[in-house]
Amino acid sequence: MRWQFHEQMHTIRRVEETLLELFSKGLLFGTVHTCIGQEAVAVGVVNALDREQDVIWSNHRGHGHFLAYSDDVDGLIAEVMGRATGVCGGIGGTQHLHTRNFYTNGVLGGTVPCAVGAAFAEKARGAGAISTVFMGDGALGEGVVYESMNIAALWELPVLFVLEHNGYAQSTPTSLEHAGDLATRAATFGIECAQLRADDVEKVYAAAQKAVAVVRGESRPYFLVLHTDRLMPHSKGDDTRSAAELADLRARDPLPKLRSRLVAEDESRMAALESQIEARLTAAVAAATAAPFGKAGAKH
Amino acid sequence: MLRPNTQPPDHMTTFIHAPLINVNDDDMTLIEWTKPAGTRVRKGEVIAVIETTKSTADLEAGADGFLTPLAEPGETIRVGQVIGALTENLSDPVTPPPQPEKGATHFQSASHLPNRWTKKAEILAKRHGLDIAALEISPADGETIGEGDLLGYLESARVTPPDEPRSPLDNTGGRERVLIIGAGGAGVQILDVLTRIPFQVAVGVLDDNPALHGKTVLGAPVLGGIDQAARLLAEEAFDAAIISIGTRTALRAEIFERLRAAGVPFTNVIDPRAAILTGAVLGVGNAVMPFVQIAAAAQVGDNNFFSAFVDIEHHNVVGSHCTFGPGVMTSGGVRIGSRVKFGAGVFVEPLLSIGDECVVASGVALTRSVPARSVVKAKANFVVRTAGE
Amino acid sequence: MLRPNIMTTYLASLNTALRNLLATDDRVHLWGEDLLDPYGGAFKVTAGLQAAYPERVRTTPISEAAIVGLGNGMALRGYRPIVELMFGDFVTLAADQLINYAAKFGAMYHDGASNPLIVRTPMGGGRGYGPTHSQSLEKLFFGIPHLRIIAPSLYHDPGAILTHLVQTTRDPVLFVEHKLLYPKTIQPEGDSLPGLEGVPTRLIRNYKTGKPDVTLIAYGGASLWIEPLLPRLAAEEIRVLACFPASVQPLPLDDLVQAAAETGLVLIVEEGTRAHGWGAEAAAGITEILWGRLKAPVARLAAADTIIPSAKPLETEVLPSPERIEQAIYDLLS
Repeated sequence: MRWQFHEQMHTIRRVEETLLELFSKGLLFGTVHTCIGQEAVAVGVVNALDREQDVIWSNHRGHGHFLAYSDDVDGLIAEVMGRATGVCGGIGGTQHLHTRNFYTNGVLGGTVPCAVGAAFAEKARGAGAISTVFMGDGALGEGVVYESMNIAALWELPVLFVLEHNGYAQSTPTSLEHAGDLATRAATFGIECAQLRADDVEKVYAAAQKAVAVVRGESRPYFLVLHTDRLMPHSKGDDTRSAAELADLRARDPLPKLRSRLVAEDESRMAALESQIEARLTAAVAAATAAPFGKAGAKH
Repeated sequence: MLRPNTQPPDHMTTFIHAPLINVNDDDMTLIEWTKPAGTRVRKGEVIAVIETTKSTADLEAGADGFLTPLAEPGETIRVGQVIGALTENLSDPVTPPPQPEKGATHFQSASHLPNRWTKKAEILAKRHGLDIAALEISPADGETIGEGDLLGYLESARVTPPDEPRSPLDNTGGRERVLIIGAGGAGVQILDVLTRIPFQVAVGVLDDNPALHGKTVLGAPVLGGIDQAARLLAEEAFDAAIISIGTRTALRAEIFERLRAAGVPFTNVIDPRAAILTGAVLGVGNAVMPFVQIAAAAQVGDNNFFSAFVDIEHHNVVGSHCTFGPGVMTSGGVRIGSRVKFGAGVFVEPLLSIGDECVVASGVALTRSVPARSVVKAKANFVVRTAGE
Repeated sequence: MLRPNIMTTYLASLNTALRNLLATDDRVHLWGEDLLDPYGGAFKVTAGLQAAYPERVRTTPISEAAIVGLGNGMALRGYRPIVELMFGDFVTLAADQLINYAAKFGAMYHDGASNPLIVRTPMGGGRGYGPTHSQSLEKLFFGIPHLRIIAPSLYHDPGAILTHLVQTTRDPVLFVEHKLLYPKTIQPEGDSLPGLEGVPTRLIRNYKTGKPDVTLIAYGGASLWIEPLLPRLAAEEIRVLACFPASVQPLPLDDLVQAAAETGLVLIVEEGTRAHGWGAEAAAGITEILWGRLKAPVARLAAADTIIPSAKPLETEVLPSPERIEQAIYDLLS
């Protein structure tokens, strides 16, 4: 399990790093919001879900969730490079991804009622599927999030709210964004909540499994707060944190820690794994670079 | 619980009005009377049930009295409508006040039907420049003048459609009939100016080119050579003449003298958009094109041709038989002789004099006087390079 | 409870259609504020439905953004949600969900995702509700691609159109009902033009023979001002071809041009404010095609560019009216 988790997390990390390189070369469009440092959230939670039927709503910082769900490295890189072979034909780009039961959108907060609506739909369908929505701490500034939590609790809907709390809303620290405590906001709606640090992907996985069991088994919402660190800027070139603070955060990065443990188990397996991931990346970038751009549906 | 609007019982009969229950409904349904006709009810008792789109409501009696229902169960009633009465005595007669009109939305139409005419007929008349109130038309239905009546009238009166331009030959009496000498470009200019002058009308053109005889210029017939002028004068076919010829001063002068000797009167043709200022004086036979200014106290002789945008400034004196191209600008106090020919775009400084029979070429900015029979040319200051040469 | 008339009111048509949809299509869900029976909604359009289908007709908290957002989530998952906003003026609260979510998914996701969300709401003045309860705010969404705006008039069958949309639309719909239309008997019989995607354009003539003098174009509640005017104009021998599209966006330009070409004299009437309104778009479209065949510039009559007061005499000064339309027609013809 640990190896599987690491493979997924490392893939996410390398894809994000590759995208940042491509950005510096001017090969991407718009900006990218990377989730470097937060991979354990995506991998820990998504593996606890049913990839066949569960619905996932993510946000502008959704590459990690997307890859944990679909493993579509080619589709993601091509999409962010605006190609027709991208997962959305190159039209939506980084913030507007969709594949099977996975959706994202770029305007903060509005994904939450969509996810609650999806939960309503799945409950009506009666096949046992649930809906999960990933939010950042910044999203809790938007009123519609609270409207949605209220309705989710009132109507007993199977939705898992995952708060990816990295202490920053774009450039503003939590202390200047939010009064009171974030985790207990859900409690006031009667929604069960739990919180932990997302340093260890296996702990995240366990917490997610527990949450999913409640949501699926009892058809009621759950609010899971995962404290994590965003190691790179909000988007590109807009990091105002001090070098010292960033150094601190890097020291806490869970990915190298897990890697060390696994290398101790089997070094050659790690080497093979990592070179395989590199090969995937290289191929994906080459394929995307060669592909034509997407076609807009414009009417003039 | 609803209390209807009731009148103070001045004849001891209280009328029951359908109340306003909610803002969305003008109409509602009377479901039933909860008390039979003739019952003596007390103020505050429920006497009817009314339904709107939003809810059902009970109607209470606003006073004591014997109930006379005036609306039927199931009937649609309107807010304010009288639906019943409460009388002091059982046998009191009930005369309900006049009811508000039911049905489609009211509006105050701008039409005044029944009237002598329909709006359509009025509009059509206006399009033809007519006031329908002033027309004598018998409507086909004996009552209202309609579109058909008006169209019939227009046809029989042969009113010209308003869109056609007024012909220069359209003489409806009282206008000076002008004969134009010369069918060239200047002749066309004069004919055009005449379409804008309400008190003059062109009756024809004379030109010595036989190929033009019998043809028309801007609708005006070319009646023959210039020698026809005397005959036409004898036939009283025109009132006065004007010479068009725009540049050849000697020819202008010669024709003018010849025709004047034959007794032909001459007239000025001045475009309404030219400005003749205070105290300016002109002779006869002058052709003044649009946007010319003959400024204050200027004096102009006879038989001159002024192209558009010529400025004869104040206190100028201009002789006779001169021709001015477009845009000749004098300054104050300039004296111009006779038979002087100007090109286009000439400037003349103040108080200069230009003698008889001079020629001043286009583009000259004259800064000194010139004696008679001089030719003034501007030094060329441009180069023309044509592709391929 | 409905009067047992042979003819149907606008409201009854909608209520019946919703009832039939709930009965025949499990994917249909209906949400809105205060839908609980016996209250049955502020304008009673859903009266009786909550009691009949309590799992699928739900009364919601006062959360316009969330309920439209839930509708988006539902629609993406293959359901047919119909979300009611109590007053069209409140659509502003759901604007993000309509503009950045509903109108984007189909085009942005690019894999055939369809978002058949329908948001129903009453718009319009004439009831003295005042500046924030009387507007025609559908105009906020003009020019947002992929968001359909449908506004059936007095001459349409709103229930039939709603049913057709629920069954066939791939794009989200803002379905505009005019408050004053609810109690009116609809008149859906007669000539139509095809409109767009099965939502027809109605043609009403106030004459039997001859050619029309003027073309009137309007949608939704504006039809109420035109209805009493038609016989009055007929008596004045002014022959009117009135053209009522129900599809407001996209605009069925072919239909409007066809109606305009019959006369070359066009008056567009709308209840929204004049500046940057629907009439401006329609006029530009008509002029682009009929340039040279119009006898006068396309005229527009709309609400004044100000707020809508509550008191009736003041409201009348701001909004169009049959009197104003009548005078505008005379002016256009002269």
